Amino acid sequence: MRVIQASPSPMSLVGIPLQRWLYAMRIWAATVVALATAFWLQIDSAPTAAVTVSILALQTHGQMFHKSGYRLAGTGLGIVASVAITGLFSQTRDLFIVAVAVWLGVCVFVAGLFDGNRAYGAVLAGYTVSIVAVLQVDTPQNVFLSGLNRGAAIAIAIAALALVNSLTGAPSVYVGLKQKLAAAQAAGTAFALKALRGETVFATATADLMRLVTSLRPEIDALYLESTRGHHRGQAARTLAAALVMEVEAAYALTLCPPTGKSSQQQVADVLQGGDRNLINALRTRLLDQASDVSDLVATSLIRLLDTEIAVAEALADLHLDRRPARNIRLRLYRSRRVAAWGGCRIMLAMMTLGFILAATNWPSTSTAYAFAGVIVALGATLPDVRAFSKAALIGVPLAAAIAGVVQFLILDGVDQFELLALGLAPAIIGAALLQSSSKPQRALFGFVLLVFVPQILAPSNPETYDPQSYLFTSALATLSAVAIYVSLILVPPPSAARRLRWTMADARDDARRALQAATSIAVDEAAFHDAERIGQIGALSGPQTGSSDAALRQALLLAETGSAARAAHAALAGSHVFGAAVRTAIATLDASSLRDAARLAHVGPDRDAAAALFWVAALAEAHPFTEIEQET
Amino acid sequence: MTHDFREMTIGGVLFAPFVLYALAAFIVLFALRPVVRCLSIDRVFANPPLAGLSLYVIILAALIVTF
Repeated sequence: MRVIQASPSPMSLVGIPLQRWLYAMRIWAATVVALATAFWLQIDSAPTAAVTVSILALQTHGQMFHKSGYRLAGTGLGIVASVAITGLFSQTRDLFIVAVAVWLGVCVFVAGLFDGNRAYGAVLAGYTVSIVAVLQVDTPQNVFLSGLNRGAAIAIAIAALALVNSLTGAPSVYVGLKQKLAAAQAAGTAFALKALRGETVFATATADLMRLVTSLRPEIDALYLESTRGHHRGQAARTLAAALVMEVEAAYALTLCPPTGKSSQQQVADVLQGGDRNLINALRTRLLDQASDVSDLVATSLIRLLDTEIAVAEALADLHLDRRPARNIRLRLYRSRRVAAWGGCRIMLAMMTLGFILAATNWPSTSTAYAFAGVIVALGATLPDVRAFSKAALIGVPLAAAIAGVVQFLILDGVDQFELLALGLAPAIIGAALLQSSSKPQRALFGFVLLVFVPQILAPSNPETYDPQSYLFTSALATLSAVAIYVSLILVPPPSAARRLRWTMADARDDARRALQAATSIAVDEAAFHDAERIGQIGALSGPQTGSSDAALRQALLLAETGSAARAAHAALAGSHVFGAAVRTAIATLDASSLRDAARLAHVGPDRDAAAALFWVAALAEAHPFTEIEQET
Repeated sequence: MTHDFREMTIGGVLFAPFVLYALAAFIVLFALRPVVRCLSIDRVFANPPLAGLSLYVIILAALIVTF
């Protein structure tokens, strides 16, 4: 499969594209503006403004605004939870530790059900409790004020980022997304051509293509706030993503019940390759007119493929012209509830264990280590691999402490001018932002840890204190929390890839069974996107590392196609007056002969669509009996 | 000439009047989005995000001066 990548920047400095340098400079400038404003307004949480800039450090304008919204909302919820937990448990140490750990676990569970910035908003509500309630555990009367200060610092950081991004012309998510979706469309058409020409279509290639489309969902969500046309663009992009998934599904369906009409297939392949919309529409009309027999699966499957290609072309035109599509589609996300629950329980147990161990030591200010640990696990929970993040934190936090020490005691060394602080911060912030913008995941993770923890440990204040004892104490506790979290996550392991695969496959079977049983309110394309999300995840999970071949993936594709065919049949039956309840029972039981008998009753208008859908379900049921595809691989 | 600013208190905690103005300006900005879109104002500018930010500042200043 063709891998879609952003086109490389033509100019580079020290081997790093100019675009990344500009991004790093923007982050540094926003940090300086945020700190200057926080000092000017004399708020207590000035370092929070710098850390917020680091956390909201995203490449495009739209993504930054989208994440900012969730950061404000998550902080608000976290402050409310902090006040509640402090009010209820501040006098009972053990219950306080349990309450904080449970709240973090719940937030991580909720984050596990979402993706992108929604997941971040959920974990932020969790770790705000670590920062606000845990750090103020000895002075509970200050919790509300501390929360307000934090909210103010976050608002300042968002304003600073908005100002710097606007003045410096940060890239637009819309431009990049248009290119990615156009590339995905080209890959989808190439995939359909392969299927039409009878070439081998691998299940892994299908899953990769589906993952390529579904992974664009967070960027599509970010379109709304980016511009005044964001609402229409978002709707067009969602319609396009759903249509692309439908196209891949329709192309893969050709391999499930291979059509034999070679000349029709060649005609369809030729018009798809040419890409002329008028020719595609004309061929579709001709095939529909010629298909006098609704039981002709060749015509049904080819018309279905052409329909999806037309839908893709229309949605792409809507996206380019900022037009509102006829229908508003919701891109349904698939997340395994069991995997999310395991993740939440894991974080809860790790935090609870760490809390009781720290409390048992009776060391002073262990609450700082507990708060840092909460931040590390919560931030890691939004990433695909929390263990990899804790590993990056294990190396990154001590390094961030060392960098903060160098900046504070060697570079600045007692100066109190803001200009010198801004210049002193430049190498650390720009270097970390350059690492964070790297395309290599490990480097990006490491850069993110540095970007967040350097200002956190440095904690710039006005006037700067230059207290070595405070610096050593904070650094030691931050490092201790990183080590403790790394060890706790080893002791409480995540579910194995094989187990996650088993749970995800069980969900796929349940969804297919539900689709067979009765019509649902979920549209066929929305359900197809949901299935594609799951297939993408199964593709990442299946393979030699889980001790399985791609059998699970092929089974998931079959289940998705069976569910999709059943949904289409139920939807078509809803618009027809010919068929009775017996046909719905035949779909639920996948009784091929009853389905064919019922389908022969109607041949015209909406009834014709229903008949064609019933023939397709019957053909699928015969070629791939559900009792076989239901069996665990 | 200056005018009195209304204070906002939540649970006995005093909030700066600016917070109210900033929130109100956001609401007005979002309410104006369909109008800005229909007039294609963003296509007139080379840097639409900066134009949007400027519009926000104008609304904020107008609210502070007016109310």
